[in-house]
Amino acid sequence: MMMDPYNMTLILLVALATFAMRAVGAVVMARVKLAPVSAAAFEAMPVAVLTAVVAPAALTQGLPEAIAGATAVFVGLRAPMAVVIVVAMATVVAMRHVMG
Amino acid sequence: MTTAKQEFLDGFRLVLPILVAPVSFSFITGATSVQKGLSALEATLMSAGVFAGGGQLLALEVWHEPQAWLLVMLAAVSINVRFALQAASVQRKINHFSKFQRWLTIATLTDPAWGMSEVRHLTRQVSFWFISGITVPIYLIWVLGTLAGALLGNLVDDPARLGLDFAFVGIFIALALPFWKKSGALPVAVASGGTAILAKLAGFSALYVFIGAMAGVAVAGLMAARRARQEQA
Repeated sequence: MMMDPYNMTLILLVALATFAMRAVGAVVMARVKLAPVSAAAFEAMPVAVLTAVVAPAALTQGLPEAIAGATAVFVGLRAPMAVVIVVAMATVVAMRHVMG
Repeated sequence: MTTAKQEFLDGFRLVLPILVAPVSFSFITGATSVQKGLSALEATLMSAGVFAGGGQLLALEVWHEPQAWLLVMLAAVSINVRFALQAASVQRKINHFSKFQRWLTIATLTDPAWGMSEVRHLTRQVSFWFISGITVPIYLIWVLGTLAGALLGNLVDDPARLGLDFAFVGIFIALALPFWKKSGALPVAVASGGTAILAKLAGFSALYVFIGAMAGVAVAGLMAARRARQEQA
C-alpha cells in the first residue's frame, strides 16, 4: 500500500472537478433558466460525450473490437450492465483468438 | 417502524435490483486503476472521493498523457456535466433538508439517486432517508468493489488476455444505450461519434473525446435553433 504524489494530485483534481459539476448544478443552475438552445446543448452532453468515448474505442482498433462492440450494443438492448460487460470482454477475447 | 427507517427501506428496495451494475462497474474500475499504476489504496481513495465511475474510467485513460492534470479534469467535467443538470433538478426537491443533508445529497448524487428521486417526487415529498436508502448501498459497493477489483487486478499480468481492456467499452455502451434510444439522439450521436473517430485517427490522442462531444453538442444546439425558428415562422 502506498500513495504517490502524482497519483494523489490527479485523484484530487478529478474529485474536485466532479464535485464542482454537482455543486454548480445545485447552486447556479437551480436558479437560472437556460435559453432553449443552451438547454438543448446541455441536454445533449451525455449522449455526445458517451458516443465520443464508445465509437472510437469500438471502431478504430480492429475487427475483433468492432464485432465485440456491436455484440455489446445488441445485448445491451435487453440485458443489464453486468451482462454487457461480460459479453463485451468474452466476445473480444474470442474474436482476437479466432482472428489472431 | 419509524418513518426514517421506512423511508430508507423504500429507497433500498428500489435500488436493490440494479446493484449488480455498481458491483461489476466498481470491480472493473478497481482493476483498471491498478493497471494504470495506482496502488490499491489510491484506487479505493479515488472511488471514495470521486464516486462517479464514468469520469474515473475516462480520467484513467489519459492518466499518463502529457498535461495529464488538465486532461483528467476535462475527462471528469465532460462525463460528469450531466450531474449539474441532475443536481439542479434535485435541489428544487430537497429544499426542506437541513443544510448538511442537502450538501451530502448533492456531493454524492448518482444517476439512480437522481432518477428515483424524480419519480418519487411525482407522488410524495422526497426525504433524506429515502435518498440515503439508494445512495448508501451504492457507495459501500462502489468503494469496496473498487478495492476488490484493485487487489485482484494486481494478480492479472496481461489484462488484454482477459478482455479487461475492453470492459471499459462495454460499460460505456451500457451507459450510452438509454440515451441512444431517446428521440433526437441519432444526429447528435452520429456527429459526436464520427467526429471523435476522425479526431482520433488524426492523432488527437487524448482530446478526441472532447472534440467529438463538442461536435455533437453543436449539432444539438443547431437543431434546437432550427426548431425555434420554425415555431416562430
